[in-house]
Amino acid sequence: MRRKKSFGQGEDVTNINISPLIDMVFILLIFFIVTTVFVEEKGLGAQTPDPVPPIEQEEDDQDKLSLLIKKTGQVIAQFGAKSTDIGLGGVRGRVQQEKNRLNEDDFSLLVNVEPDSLVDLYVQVHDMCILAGANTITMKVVDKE
Amino acid sequence: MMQNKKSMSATDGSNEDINISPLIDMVFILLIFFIVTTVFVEEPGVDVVKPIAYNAEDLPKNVVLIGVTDKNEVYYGGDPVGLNGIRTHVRRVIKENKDMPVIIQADRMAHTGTIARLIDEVKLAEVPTGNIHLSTLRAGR
Repeated sequence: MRRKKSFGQGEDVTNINISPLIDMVFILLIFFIVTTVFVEEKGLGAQTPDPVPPIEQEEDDQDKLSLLIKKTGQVIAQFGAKSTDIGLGGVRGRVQQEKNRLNEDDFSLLVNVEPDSLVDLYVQVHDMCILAGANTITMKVVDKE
Repeated sequence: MMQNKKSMSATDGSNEDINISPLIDMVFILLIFFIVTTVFVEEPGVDVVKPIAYNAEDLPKNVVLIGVTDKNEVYYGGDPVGLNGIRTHVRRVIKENKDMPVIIQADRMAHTGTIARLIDEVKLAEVPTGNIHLSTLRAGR
């Protein structure tokens, strides 16, 4: 501003008043600070089976490992007609064993859940399946037996 | 403004004006930062205790957030819309931005039956399967 003055011709040089500009910028700043929400979500992919005709579904279940989460908190490994209670601790080993047996790059796993089982247990089982190398994990609701 | 100051502190000729241009620059930079980072996300409006997973990935920021409480109530944008009401809300948002992911914030004590039905409803709102996520905390880090 001083410089302007020295360059100006007469005494009645008008300076542009920038204080309203600064006020406005401050108001905008406060608006954006207040409205900003920092969404930092972490999580897992959630999948349910796509509807398929019942005939295909029957064939799909043959000789393939699937897990069952019961509402009592039991985790059961189902292979063919055989089902064993492995618990949460046994999931990783059993799934890894199945992955080694199949020896495929794209390893998908079906996790059956009873409708009343808890999300907490499902997420832990899902997590263990990822650790064991499963690529896609599908959550399927089964009716109570 | 400056002229005023000058006349007030006229003890000697060597008085310095405070240079406010760095301040203004900084304010502008802050403003731009907040404009750029602002995403207008409607939060579900319920507090949930999230499950913990080791393999939790970082999820996108501009998303549809759906909350499921320990009593299996489904919240969106602060309202308990329920399982039957969620589809219209999600569809409205997805219409504007087809690639917008959906994140389900489920409580640890929520039932998987509710979550599965919710995922099915979201799928019916034409969200691709890969865009649906379950929010967790990350363990150990």
